[in-house]
Amino acid sequence: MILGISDGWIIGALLLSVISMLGCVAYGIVNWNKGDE
Amino acid sequence: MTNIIMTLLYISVLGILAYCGYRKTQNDSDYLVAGRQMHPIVMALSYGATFISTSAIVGFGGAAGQFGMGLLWLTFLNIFVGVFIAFVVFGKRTRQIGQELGAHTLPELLGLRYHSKFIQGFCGILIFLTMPIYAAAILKGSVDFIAKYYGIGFGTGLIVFAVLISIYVTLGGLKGIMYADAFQGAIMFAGMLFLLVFTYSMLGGIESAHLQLTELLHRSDVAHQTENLAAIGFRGWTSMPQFDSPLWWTVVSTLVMGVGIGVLAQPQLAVKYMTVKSSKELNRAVLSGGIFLFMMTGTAFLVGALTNIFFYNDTGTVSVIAAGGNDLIIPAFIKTYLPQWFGDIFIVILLAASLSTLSALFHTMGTAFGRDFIEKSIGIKGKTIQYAKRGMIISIVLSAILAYLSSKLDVSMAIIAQGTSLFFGLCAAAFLPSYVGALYIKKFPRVGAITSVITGTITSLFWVFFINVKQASSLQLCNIIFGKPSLVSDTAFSKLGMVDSIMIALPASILAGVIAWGIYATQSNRKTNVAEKEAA
Repeated sequence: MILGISDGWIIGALLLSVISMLGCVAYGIVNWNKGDE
Repeated sequence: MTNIIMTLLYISVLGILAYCGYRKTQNDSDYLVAGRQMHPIVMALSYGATFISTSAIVGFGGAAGQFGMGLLWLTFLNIFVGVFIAFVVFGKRTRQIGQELGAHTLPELLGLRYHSKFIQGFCGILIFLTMPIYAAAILKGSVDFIAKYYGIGFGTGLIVFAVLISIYVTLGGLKGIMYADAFQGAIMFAGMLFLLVFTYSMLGGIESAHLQLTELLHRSDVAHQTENLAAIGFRGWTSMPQFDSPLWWTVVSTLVMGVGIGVLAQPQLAVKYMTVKSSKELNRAVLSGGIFLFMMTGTAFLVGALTNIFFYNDTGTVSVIAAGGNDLIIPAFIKTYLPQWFGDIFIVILLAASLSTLSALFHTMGTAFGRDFIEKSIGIKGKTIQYAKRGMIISIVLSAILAYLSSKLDVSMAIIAQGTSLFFGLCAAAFLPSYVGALYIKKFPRVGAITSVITGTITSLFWVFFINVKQASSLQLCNIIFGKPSLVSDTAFSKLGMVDSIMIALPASILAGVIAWGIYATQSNRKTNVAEKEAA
């Protein structure tokens, strides 16, 4: 059980949502000054 | 009184921003793609505020109130597909190719890339005729709330709201709309953050809230109230529905996949990529876009499911019964259980969520009609902006009529979420394969794109009107012609009636495009060989 939820599918959706959000933040920071002009 | 002051203040700021956009709009490019000079944070907030409407907050939040937290898979797809894949894989190439070809809309990008006026005109008219379904779903979400909050009739609220939108969207073009979007996105973010924190703190924290929600289904009266849902696969608000049950197919194929994948081919979102000057802005927009989507959809779905505890403790019934319908759960929850001052602010949040999306939709429908269909495909010369404005007014009237008709449908079927998914699924099937081809496959021929667009459109519409039981039975056409809600009802294929159109029409569209490409390539090779032999 994580955060009061025991269904693996719901835990998976929550975790993937958090991970992908953090991934977006990391991508934005790493590539802040990259890209064509 | 406070709510009237708040609403007037909000409309005033909006008016000022629309006027600023109007003053800075000098030419067609300014009106259509904001002069391709937008700031990355404005672009990200505008994309997010356009993506998230009352449909997500009221419609899908209400769906989570009835079906549970399985909707969180859509939060994951919204962030991973709707922001990361959309900006990095689609956005950068769309911006680059859009600029190279001088395209101002998604149909124009496809038309110029495939050298086909037919594609541009067909896509333009398809958007103009089907996007009102999505706009009507959002209008319904807003007017449901306004009518409930102010105690006025649905029809009255709808007319007032439609007039307000008409004035606002025709004014400033995309510049005015995007400035206003950024302002509205900021309001939405702050409001949803408060809603999330308030709801969990009232229930004693995250773990306590989830345990109470899980526990709820074990009560005999709740089990009795949800027995119809349980019969189609419901297993509680903190569990996924039973695999392969009718409810599982509704949640996974219609609500999660329909919107989760369909977002990639949304014409009103694709145009946003064309408003920034380089791919650097898109890299930066990924950061704020990811956070924004997480907060908006995560809050709507989590709070939607948690409303059941509030309603049950207070009235002894679960949300969907206490509120009187799926789409009324969030409005009733805000009105009953949140502080009065937040209810007043939430009106503005919902107005912001729906206006930011609707303005983009009407702008897209207007340009689809005026530029893509009338000017570029048929070839009637004139002022783009004037044609676009006429298209906008027609589409607003059409959407308002559909919203009024939708208010007469069965309240239990999550009309807002279903209408949204229907349009997103249609866009994916019609545009996605040829859009990917335009961006990444140089050899993908015009005939492949045309075949894919037509196959995707026909398959998707056929599935919606004649196969998918929920959609076909509410649209009634199948019943009128064949005397049964769906062609597969009471047949060996009845399971297909649970599957959403995107699961069938998108693969069909891809397959048709690939087959046409194969035939075209074979014929081209044959012609080349014959020519070489003759030359020899």
